[in-house]
Amino acid sequence: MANHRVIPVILLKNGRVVQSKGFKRHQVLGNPSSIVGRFSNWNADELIYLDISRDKNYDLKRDDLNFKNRGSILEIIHDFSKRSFMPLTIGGGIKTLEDVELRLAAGADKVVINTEAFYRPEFVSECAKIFGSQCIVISIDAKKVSPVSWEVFVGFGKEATGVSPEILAKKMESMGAGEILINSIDRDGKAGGFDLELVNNVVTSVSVPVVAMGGAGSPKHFAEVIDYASPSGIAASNIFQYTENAVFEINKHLYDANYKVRKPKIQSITYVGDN
Amino acid sequence: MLGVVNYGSGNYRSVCNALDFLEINYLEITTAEDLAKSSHIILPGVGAFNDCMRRLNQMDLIKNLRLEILKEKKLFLGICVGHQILMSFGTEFEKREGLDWVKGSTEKLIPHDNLPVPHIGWTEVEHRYDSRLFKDIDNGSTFYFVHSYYVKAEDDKAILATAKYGIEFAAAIQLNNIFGVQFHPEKSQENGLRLLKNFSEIKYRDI
Repeated sequence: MANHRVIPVILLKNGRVVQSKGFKRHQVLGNPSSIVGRFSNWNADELIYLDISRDKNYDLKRDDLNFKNRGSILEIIHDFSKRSFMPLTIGGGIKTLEDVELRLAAGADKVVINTEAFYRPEFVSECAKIFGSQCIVISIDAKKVSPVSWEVFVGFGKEATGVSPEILAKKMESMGAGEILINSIDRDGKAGGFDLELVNNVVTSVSVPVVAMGGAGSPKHFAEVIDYASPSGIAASNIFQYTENAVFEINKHLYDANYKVRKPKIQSITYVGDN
Repeated sequence: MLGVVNYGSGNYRSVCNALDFLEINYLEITTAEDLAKSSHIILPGVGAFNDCMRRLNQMDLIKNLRLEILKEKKLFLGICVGHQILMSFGTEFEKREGLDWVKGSTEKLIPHDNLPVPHIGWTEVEHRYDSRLFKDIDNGSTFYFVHSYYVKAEDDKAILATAKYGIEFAAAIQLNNIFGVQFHPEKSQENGLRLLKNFSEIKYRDI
């Protein structure tokens, strides 16, 4: 089978990279361009950018690395794909076919759709028909509401839907989703490990690849979720921002313990351009 | 000069970005004249087989592709769907004729072991024989795949490299001057860049 993918997620808010906790607190970490350079050099399997800006107001403050100010997510994608030759997934605020088309044309390989997919499932099938299922990722944010049940929340984790993540995942698959990103609101930013049951419920209810997110705090947590649910991808955000060489270290931890992941390697070509 | 066919495929820009990075000059191919000017032709592809054939037909490029590749023996590299349309016909949605440069068809990926489809991720590519396309790339190196269909070549010798995803399938094919890869070299970091560079340096007389 394909190797499990270890996927850093970069959360963007108003053009700055942020750390998220419980979908509420967002701490600014820096400029997206400088942070991305590191991931490609570390041979990450894929990168996900999620734009969690409430309004679409980008103002990338100059940092001391001399990157140009960037006005939009499209420019961020454009910059990234000029110097990183790896799969790039973009999400946040996608509501129209044009939103998808612009992101793919700028260099994204896949797009993540969340709230719009919930309210307008036919949007998912329109996207799949035009752009192909392979580039349509549906993200589902879920909260544990009883010892044995979970509920989907949309609109940045604020609006309860009364729907279970498995049901929604199945529905999205039938509409043409090529991949499901399941994120635990409870575990977000806690670094205490993935919600294993939640991930497993979704993995076992669909036949498209599932990416687990929410709660990774150490390489051990990646191993745990593979053991328990074997998702195709394991995504995380904060751990990659705070731990030096985290991509390499996590891959190495898994590879040395005989998990099916790509052989860890530090890139020998330097991609970081001069911009 | 190397040319990249632009028929609106999603990864056209990504292939160009990789060539820019490698400092390989290329031209954008949209017409028969552009094809004539190219010594090496890359056909990127993302999406559906039928869609790819339909767009090439609309641009009226098929006849001249045949001329440049089969008669003029220019070097050709098809990527993903660009690799799949080398076959006689495709079976995605409905049966549809391909370029028919390599005998065979595309088949839906139905892996054993309940593996998810599409096959998305980094998978080891095993070389069946030495080829300049994989020069300086270790046997068993990983490349990035995203696909739900694979090619089934009638001629086993056309299979240059294989990958396993539940079943074993052709990750790369070569028939004289014609190459196809199921994975995305433009998204496969160092190995992918090397493969693109290798392709740009292949001369017909070396094959």
